[in-house]
Amino acid sequence: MVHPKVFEAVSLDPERYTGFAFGLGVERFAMLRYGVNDLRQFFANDLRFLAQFH
Amino acid sequence: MKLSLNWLREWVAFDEAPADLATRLTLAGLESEVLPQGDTRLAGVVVGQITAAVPHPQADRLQVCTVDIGRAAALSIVCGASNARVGIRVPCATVGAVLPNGMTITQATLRGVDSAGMLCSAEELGLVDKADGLLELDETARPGAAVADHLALNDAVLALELTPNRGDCLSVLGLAREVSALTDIPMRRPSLPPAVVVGDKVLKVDVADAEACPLYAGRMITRLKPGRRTPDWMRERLRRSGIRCIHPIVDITNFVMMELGQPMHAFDLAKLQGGVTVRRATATESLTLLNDQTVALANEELVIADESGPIALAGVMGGKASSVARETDAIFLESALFSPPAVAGTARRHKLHSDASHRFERGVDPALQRIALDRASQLIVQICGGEVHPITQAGRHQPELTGINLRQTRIDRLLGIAVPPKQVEALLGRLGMTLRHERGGSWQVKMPSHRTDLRLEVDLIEEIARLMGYDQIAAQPYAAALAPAPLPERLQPLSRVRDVLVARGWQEVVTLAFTDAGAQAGLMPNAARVAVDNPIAETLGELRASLWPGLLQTYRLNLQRQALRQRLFEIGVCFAAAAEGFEEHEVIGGLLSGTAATEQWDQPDRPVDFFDLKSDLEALFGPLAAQLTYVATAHPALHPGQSAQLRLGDRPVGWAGRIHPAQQQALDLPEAVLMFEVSAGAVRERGVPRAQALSEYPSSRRDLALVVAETLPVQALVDCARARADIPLVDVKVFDLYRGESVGEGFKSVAIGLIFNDYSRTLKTEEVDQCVAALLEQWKVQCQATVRA
Repeated sequence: MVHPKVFEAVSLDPERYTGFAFGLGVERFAMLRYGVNDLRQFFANDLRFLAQFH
Repeated sequence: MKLSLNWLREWVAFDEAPADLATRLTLAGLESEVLPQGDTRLAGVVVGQITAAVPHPQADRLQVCTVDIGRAAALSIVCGASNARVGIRVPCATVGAVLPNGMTITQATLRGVDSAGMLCSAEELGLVDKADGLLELDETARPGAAVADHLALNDAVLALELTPNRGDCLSVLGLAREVSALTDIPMRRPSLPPAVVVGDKVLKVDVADAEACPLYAGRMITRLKPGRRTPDWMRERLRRSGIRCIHPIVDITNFVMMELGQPMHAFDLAKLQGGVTVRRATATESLTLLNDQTVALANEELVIADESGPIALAGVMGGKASSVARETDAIFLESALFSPPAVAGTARRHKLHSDASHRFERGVDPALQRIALDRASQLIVQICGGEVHPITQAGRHQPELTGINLRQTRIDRLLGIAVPPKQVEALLGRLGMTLRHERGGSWQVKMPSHRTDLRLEVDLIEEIARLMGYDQIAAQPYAAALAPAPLPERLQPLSRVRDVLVARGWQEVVTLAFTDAGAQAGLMPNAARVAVDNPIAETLGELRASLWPGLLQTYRLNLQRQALRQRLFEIGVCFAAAAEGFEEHEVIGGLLSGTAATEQWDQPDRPVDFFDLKSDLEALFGPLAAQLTYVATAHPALHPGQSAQLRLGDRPVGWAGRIHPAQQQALDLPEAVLMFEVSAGAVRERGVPRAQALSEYPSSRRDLALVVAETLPVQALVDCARARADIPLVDVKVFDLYRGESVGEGFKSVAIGLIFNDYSRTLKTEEVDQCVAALLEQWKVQCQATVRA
């Protein structure tokens, strides 16, 4: 839940505006979709890995 | 924090299997997992008591021990441990036992003496990673009993990664409270008998900074019996929490910290001079801590001091001089409340992270100090004997927390679901809150003392959602239409830029925007580089001014994996220091190495060259390529003779070339790679094409061979022709390049095709010839070109 102070800091009325912040990185979906078992592979830049995806 | 589940179960009888409990806690925001453990049944490992030990006749370091394992016949076992001695009880692996490390115990003969088993260390039983000597068990260990039973090894360990707001869960008590609230199973608080006060001595305590230390309580415990040992049941619980046993008094304070969440400290009474004061350190003071580190207290650190000066860093670590030791027979036991800011600053400044500072930084229950003091006193009397004296305390009492107003309408609005009032009361009641009905569908809610993190109405609403489970909130489609902003036609999307390069055999990589200052200084000594204030690592001290350091690092990484032919590109933001702060600009960069084509049979292999790179850059710029010029310009990272600044018209848009030999050597690269970097904006800003009238008349072509100086770029000839032709010159082709004896040393022959075409008429032969003659004159003047004989 977004803290009321965050709204106050940007001059929004926290009684009127509320928010939630959560979510998953796109890498998590890609891992499931393509069967990647280590998220770090996406940032390791190993050509053997990259060459599998185009 | 790591915790034995058996210990937790004593406080709340949950039904879940360990893994299910961990999942439940994780879903409620307390990330946890059950630690994997080896075989803890330890079949065939029993308690053995050494009844006799004689030196091995053939080996200096071995002893032959007679071991009572509760059977009629004692075993004779050869043992090399230095602490093997008569009287002690130790784990004895009998013949046939298989230890967790895979070792099978057999009847053996060691240097001529029969050995019917093995006496074990904690390491050999898989209890700790490293141990010296035999694991000594206490006197409650009955010879012959299974060691797994004696140590209650049928247990699981829960590892928790708690968010900083949930310091109240950093104990068995705190976690039991949470499990009870989640499962609605009531807690069963074990009865903790208070310590009986028999003495009447008090140490004077004083708090000079009540803001930083709202409460300081302590008491003396005297006439401790020497030589007492922490019992196995306590050792095992501490071990499962990852805490090393040091001294019974220290172990007990750690145990109470794990049990109730109150960090405590024991001072050796004999080493204290006068009463204790909680105060800010003066600039010249210093303190040698328990870990032998001496810290200068130059920043008004909160300390505990006696008349001699600081004796402990409040809430962080005790001092060495006043610590308990083997011969300690009287202590002053401290149980205090330090404010999070007072402890966090000290711990961070001196890089001293302790279990105590971890808890104080997050907030300790202000109602806990005297309870913990009594609990520890009682355990000390039970284990070490001694006389307990009255508690003395200083500091102001915590102000009573004001209630929080909670509105039913607000709950429903924030969570998007209607939560019945009865459920609100039930859920918050389970967390130890008391709710009083007010007019107009709201409550006045009082917090339990341990929930120092709950301050606002939204905090309570979050607790309701958390206890109900966020998964109980049904999904609904978006209420708002999400309209992506349209992309203007003149602007090519980056996805197309990627496709162009990928189709030409390039691979996209992603590197960090933080990079090594040294690498940047080498490649771009003149760039306005931006240093990072708090780098996460020494090698990530600057924001990247170019994509090249990251690409070169990636190149080397793949080189280590035997990839010689590489085509790497990256699209990313680079940074440059500006008058105020810094500027960001999006850049496309690339690195090219190895052979021009993949390995095949049809063409001879050749290494990539500048023109391979140029051809890919032209594809990248697409229709803009016709306006793209390559101007030989020096760049510190690029080869002086093989580098060019890319320009669109007069505007510099990037660089391309071979790496500078000095950089190649500095980076120890096996090959002089080619690199480019262009502004993403320039590549993307493509414009909307305007259709040109097509000529219905035939074109005329003239082919010429021009001899020019080797140093003259062919581009100069092309530019000259385009600028000077007085009839429409629609295309210029460079179709041959020759160097050899017939053109002379230092010269080259360039074959150029000029294609003329007017869209309104057929050009006459004479007109074309005239124009070519004029161009030859211009080339001669501007480029010192002659027609090849």
